[in-house]
Amino acid sequence: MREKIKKIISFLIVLAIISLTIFYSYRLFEGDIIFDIFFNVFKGPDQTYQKQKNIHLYDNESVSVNKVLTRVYYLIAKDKSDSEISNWEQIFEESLKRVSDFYELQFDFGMEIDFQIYEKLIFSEYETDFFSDLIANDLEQELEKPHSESETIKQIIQELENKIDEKDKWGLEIETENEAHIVNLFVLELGPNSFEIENKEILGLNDEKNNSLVLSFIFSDEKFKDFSESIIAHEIGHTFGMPDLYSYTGDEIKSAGLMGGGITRKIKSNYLEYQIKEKMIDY
Amino acid sequence: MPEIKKYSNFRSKVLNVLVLTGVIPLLIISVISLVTVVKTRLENISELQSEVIEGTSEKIERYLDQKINVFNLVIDLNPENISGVKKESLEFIAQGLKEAAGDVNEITFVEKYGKEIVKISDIQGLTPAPLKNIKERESFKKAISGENYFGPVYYTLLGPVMHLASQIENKDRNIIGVIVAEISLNPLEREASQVKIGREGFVYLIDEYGSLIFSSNKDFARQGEDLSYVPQIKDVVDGNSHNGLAKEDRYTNPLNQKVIFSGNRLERVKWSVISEWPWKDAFLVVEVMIEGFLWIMLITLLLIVGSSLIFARLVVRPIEALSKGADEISKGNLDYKIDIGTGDELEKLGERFNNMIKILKENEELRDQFFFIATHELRAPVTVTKAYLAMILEGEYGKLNKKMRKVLETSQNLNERLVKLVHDLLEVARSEAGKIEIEVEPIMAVKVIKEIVQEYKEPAAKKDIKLVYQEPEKEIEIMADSYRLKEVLTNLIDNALKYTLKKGKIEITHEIKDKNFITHVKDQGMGISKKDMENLFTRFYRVKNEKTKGIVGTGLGLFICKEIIQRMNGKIWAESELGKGSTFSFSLPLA
Repeated sequence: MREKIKKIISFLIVLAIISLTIFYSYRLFEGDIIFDIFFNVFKGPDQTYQKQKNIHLYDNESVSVNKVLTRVYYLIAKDKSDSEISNWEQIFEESLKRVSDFYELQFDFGMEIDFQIYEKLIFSEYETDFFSDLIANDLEQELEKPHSESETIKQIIQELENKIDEKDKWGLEIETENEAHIVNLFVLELGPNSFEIENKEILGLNDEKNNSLVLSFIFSDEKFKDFSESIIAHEIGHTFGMPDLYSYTGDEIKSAGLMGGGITRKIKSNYLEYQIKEKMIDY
Repeated sequence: MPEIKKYSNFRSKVLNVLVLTGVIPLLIISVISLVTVVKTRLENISELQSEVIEGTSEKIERYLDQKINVFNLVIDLNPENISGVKKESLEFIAQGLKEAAGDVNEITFVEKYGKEIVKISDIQGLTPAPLKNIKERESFKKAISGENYFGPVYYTLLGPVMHLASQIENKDRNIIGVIVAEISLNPLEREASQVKIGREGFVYLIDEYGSLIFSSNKDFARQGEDLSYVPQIKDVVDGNSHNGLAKEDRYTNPLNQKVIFSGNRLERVKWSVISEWPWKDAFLVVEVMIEGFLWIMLITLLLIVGSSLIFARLVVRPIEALSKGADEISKGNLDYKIDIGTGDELEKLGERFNNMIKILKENEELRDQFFFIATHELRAPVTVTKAYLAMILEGEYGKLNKKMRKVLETSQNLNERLVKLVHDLLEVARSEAGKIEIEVEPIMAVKVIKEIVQEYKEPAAKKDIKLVYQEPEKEIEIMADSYRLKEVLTNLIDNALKYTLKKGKIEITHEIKDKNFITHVKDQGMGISKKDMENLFTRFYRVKNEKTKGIVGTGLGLFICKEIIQRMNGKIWAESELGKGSTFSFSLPLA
């Protein structure tokens, strides 16, 4: 009996020594690479990555622009009915694709921007002079209050609303229930050399809503062809609320990027300024 | 009853000591070696990563130095403002600088008030490139103040770019304008993307905002991708160095790879050079080593245990041989020879044991010889004395008075005991000398036994003891010596009569079992204790207690019985209960 008790006590002592050794070894090497290697496990800090970023309008955090749908309309002045750009659909598509690539890169692939081109040509009831006057007025207004109101855009929307068949769901009202942020881009055909109106250069216009206007010469005129996509990207940028980073009165630019002097850059070499991106991205 | 001491196993002790002294140091050495190897490897990894980071950083610094040095222009004239220099000359210089620096997308000369005066550009869509006033731009402001400007990295569809700006100085080293250039970082990427550590380790460059400029692992992330969501990367971007040795430097990266993380920030441009080395790849050597180590350890352990077993056996075997020899000697087997062939002290001990046995045997033989001769020489006088005493008591030499008869009868009794003693001693001596004559042949057992029983009827009756013989129904033929069988039976019945002090019964029965004829002699005597039972058949052993004090005996009878029965290929045994009686049994083979 005494022998048995002695054996049990010896066994318990050995067991206790082994347990303590294992316990303290574990405590000593826990989390250490030696422990990891011995036990072929890797115990680094737990990490989960939240990559998804919220991108919103520059001046309105509540409106997300993670998904954007840009609808494109090609409107031709009455007196320029035979001046339409040949292969306009293809040219628009290729240009808009590059604009889309540009924005996706600039927003760290957090923005998905799609384009839909209204497949029909829309012929206006008004002639070039009518639009030129409207644009000239808008340019005057813009000096005082940039991107606030545009009579030209108002006029175009009004005219398009009458012309576009509601049944094909191409109405111009913003469909708020839609997941994507919708932007309208109007390409206005006023013929060649229309970039100078009443001695003022015009590349594009915006209103305070989500509408932009560019003149078609940016696709057809050799002088503008190389940076037409930057112009579109710039104007779309305004629909996101981005400000111009140049002065309207002189030649001063605050940036060489898209919203500054970069408007004349080729799109592939262009970039969006950090000061703008930082305001639009919630990290 | 004394407690029987239990002995532990010497072999187990030897084995335990050998295993413990072999295994524990081996385990300790193994663990220390492995820990050292892993720690050293970890330090090597850290050093290697640091070297790679340092090398990559140097490349980047050299690249930037080379560019900015080109743009730091001193004109060998003394105008107040760069605008005072001919435009054609400036265009020529700008073109030269663009080519000298290489990878320049655009180079612009800006006069000291911020107006661009010459621009050579590959990136402008408008030709000629528009010249603007950039006095509000950071690049101009910093350069005109005398500091070189390294702008943030921008990501274009053609790759990462950055702006550099430096001063244009006149002959008197006065700042008369600024050069602003946009350079492509693609060549830097091409150069640094070749960097590898081990097979899977890679290096990447992060800008001050946490975006990826380039990585030597193309799958790691997209160019321009913001990686500041990774805490380790964010930490380096914030200016904290990592060397791969801290616990948090081992983490699961966005590719879900377990990596060792190391990184450092370049203060001039606030770019972070980071290295990640997948843990599996970095420790592949150690893993292979550990695997090999474990195998070697396992084999060594098995060898230690195996050799310990063999060694323990080698140590214990001679001891067992000595122990067995001692047992044999104690049994009286003096012909036993201890054989230990170890060639060492143990073999010497075995030889000394054998010498001791030899001397013991010689002594034993001398003693037996003396014993045999002595008893043989004693037998004749005591037998003659016995005859003369008988003749005197029968009146052959005249009439005896009562007193004389009594004395002579006492002398005859004593002489009878002496005769018996001499007879027994002679039997023992013969037996030990191997001279006891036994002729085993088929005999009629019942007839022989009946004769003996018949002889003891009267002495039994005198002691008021009933001698009962359960005679088998038919005669049984056994293999035995009838004379010796009688001797055995005589001894057993004689003992039964002697040790049955009160009136009682002695019963002789038989049974046949396993081709053996078994005879039981059962008495109702005083019985034998368990302790005495153990030595019952040992020579000269007698049960000594108060009851046996007056009983005469030599202590040789049962020893002789055992010797005879064994010589007749039988067995003898006894069962007894103290105070109730004993049963002595012997078996002999059937014919």
